[in-house]
Amino acid sequence: MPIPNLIGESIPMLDSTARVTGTVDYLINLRLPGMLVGKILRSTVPHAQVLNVNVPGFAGSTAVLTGADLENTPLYGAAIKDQAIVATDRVRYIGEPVAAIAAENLDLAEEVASLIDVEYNELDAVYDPKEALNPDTPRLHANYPNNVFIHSKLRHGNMETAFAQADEIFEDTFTSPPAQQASLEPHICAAQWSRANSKLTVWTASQAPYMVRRVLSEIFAIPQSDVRVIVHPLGGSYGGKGHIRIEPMVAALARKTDGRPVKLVLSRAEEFVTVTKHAAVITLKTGVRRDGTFTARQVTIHWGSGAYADASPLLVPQGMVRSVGPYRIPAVHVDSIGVYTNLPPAGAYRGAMSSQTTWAYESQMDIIAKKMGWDGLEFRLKNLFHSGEQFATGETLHDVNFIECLNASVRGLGSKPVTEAGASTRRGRGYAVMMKSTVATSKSQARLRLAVDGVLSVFTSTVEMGQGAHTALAQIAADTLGLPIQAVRLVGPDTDLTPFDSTTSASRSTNMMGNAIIDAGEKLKNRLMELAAVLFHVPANQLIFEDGCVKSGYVSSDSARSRRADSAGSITAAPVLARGEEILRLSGLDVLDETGEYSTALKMDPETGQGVSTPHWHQGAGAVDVEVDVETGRVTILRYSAASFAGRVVNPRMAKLQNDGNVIFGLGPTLLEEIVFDGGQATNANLSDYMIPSIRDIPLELISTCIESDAGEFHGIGEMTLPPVAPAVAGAIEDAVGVRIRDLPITAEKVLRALSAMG
Amino acid sequence: MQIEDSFIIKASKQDVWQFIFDIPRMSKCIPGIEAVEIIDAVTYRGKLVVKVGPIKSEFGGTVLLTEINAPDSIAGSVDGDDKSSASSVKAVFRGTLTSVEGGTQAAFSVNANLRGRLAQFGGPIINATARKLTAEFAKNMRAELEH
Repeated sequence: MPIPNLIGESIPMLDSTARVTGTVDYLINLRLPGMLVGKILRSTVPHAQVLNVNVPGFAGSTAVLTGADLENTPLYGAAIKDQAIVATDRVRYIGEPVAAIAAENLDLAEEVASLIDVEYNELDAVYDPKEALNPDTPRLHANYPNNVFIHSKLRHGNMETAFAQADEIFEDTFTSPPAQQASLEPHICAAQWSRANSKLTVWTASQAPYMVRRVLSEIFAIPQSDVRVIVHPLGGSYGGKGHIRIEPMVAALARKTDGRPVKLVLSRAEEFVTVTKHAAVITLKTGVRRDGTFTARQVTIHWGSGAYADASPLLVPQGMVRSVGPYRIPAVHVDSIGVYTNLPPAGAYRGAMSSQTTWAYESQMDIIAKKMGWDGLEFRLKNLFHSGEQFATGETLHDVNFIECLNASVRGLGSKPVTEAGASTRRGRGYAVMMKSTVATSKSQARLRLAVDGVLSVFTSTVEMGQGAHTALAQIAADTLGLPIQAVRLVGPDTDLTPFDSTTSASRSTNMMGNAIIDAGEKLKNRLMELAAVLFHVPANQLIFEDGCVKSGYVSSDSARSRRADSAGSITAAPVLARGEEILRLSGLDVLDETGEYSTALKMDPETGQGVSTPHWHQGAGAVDVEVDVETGRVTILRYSAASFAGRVVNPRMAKLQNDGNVIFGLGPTLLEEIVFDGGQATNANLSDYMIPSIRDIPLELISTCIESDAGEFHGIGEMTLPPVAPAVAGAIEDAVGVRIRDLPITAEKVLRALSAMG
Repeated sequence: MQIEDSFIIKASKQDVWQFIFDIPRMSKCIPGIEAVEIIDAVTYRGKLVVKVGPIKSEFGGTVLLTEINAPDSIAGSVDGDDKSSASSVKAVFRGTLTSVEGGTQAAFSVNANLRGRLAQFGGPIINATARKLTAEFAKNMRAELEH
């Protein structure tokens, strides 16, 4: 019985029943024998010397970790090592951990926290990334004058000549405030040391188990093999659990509990001070000719990165590449600058850095088109890149489909809505396109294990966080071996069991892990055919593997091990020799294992940004119809049509959910979301004052398209339709009522104020 | 965070001024004040119990008067913290008394930096709590001064 091709099938998510019945094995439910509860005492001042942390005496199993415990422990960080596990001599933001407490229960831990006396000598603080550059403002870290810890440069073409060729030069600044990833599940981590504190096991809600393992091994100076990191399914992440955050603190605390495990679950308010979306101030200077083409673009971005570099040294260079836009511009300079401020650290946020940069370059596209009297859609279509053209990094673009994405999203909307006569609302339409790189250098490994019972186990360190990655990977594995989906089991992530993977982020898993699984699958099939050759006395090159079986027959060429064709080129049924698991049984094997790998290693010149920045480009577009109430400033999204380039769709239903989910997620920072800081204190660190989109904010109609190409490479689509949301909505608002908002979020108050200012 | 409020008391400006500097009597009118210690003519130490949303806090701190213009205005600063809710407050305040028809208007403005767990509840809740405390203070003060 041939197995239908599983790629392109809308099978339900493997854990869909568990998700709707509440039986997913989330980490919050983890109970270990003797487990203690963790609690963090946090700084109440934005910038200070820590003079003294006075911990009262206590009895029993309670343990307290303070800076005094960390004399021999190095600073850590995803890239720049600037962060202490808990504050030692200085605190740099309100909410920074000063002590960690482990106790039998939360009440006791909180009681102990309330008895700890911290003496501060407060220092001046700075919160705005551009103010932080001023030499008179306080310096957060001794090694970084002007608070700049990274400055990424892209230099392509002669700007002076190129700007001289322009008929008009536009200079505009756009801002995007700090925001929250706001995953439903907070950061959670449990840690346990072996009795001699030589081996560490960590259970954590993280997107990057192997990065957590590496950094913990560095901090505690033990071999990576002695650190085991186990990740349960996550209840969302959106970049917030993308690097290393609370794990060092929990592990250091657990080192003081004589082998008892400690679990820490952050509260919602703590989430707001653990990681945020980068605040960004983006200035674009763009030269255009009267014929509608570009001459030059200069981009300057200051990323408010908070008090510690965290993931920013990895993200700011990506923000550089992601700030140019998908348009033919002969000369481009970018300065992408990471700045320390006395606020909580910033990290990846779904559509990382593109969520801020697309807001800027697509808003400016509308400003230019309007001023020059061009149609915004035509202006974009005229300048969008085609495959084979050269990007500002010097790399040649391949498999780019921006025009198809934009056209598909506009087509999805249908006819433009008409403003009703006499109504207080006006209707308008907007568009946006985005171009995003993925991780330049990374590696994925997968191990496939076929057992004699016919089950195919996929050992993978890809993290399932609700995006459906495990389902897509199971489909790819089943498809490669020609097995039904019911035969596949996903194992991991568990660094003691599942092989290396750089990270589950940047929409890379379907592509990278998918290809690693295919590689492992091909090796497994070859091994099975080699075994069959011995069992059935047939030369291996006369065997093929399909539908989970080794088959024999005439093969038209020596290399063809896939499908057999007769002289007329049609497929004929090959006689089945044995199913894979029968070959194991006949060979006396319980299991057969193969590991596959897929990696990319791309390089750019750090001084000029020239080189190859990404293995492939993430591409998305959006078109939207909005209604603006001129009496209240309220914006209603009538219809949103999103398109992403998917290469080859693995699961159409889940792909649509990603496209739709991006749009809904993106409406938050577009219309509602901003963490409001007052003197360094987050004043809306809860989900009643900080609004994320609810069911009432979702567009009345959501349309989704996935573009595929003949090349057929799997692309991730976890972010592609998100960054266009804000500029598309801003463009639609301007189309409706003539006001242009340059600072996110586009609240009703801002629209109303702009309308009043216009008169 | 900026908090501003005012209320009118049916008493003369001089009486209100004297009342304010009768610390034991005045402090009894502030809801939640549990102890006041006079350090010197311009420095007071005290303890204030206040409930914000679900959190009950006990702030210990110091009030320093930086400007005294009898009987018209005072200004000063507050520095305090509450360990149980891991919160701290730093504030500067100014209070003015103005004779109005039928009595005296007491007005104050506070520029406060509230930090830590209490602050996460956001401006609206803190402001509402401040208004409630002010209203109670005004009521208690009237009971003391208006006969």
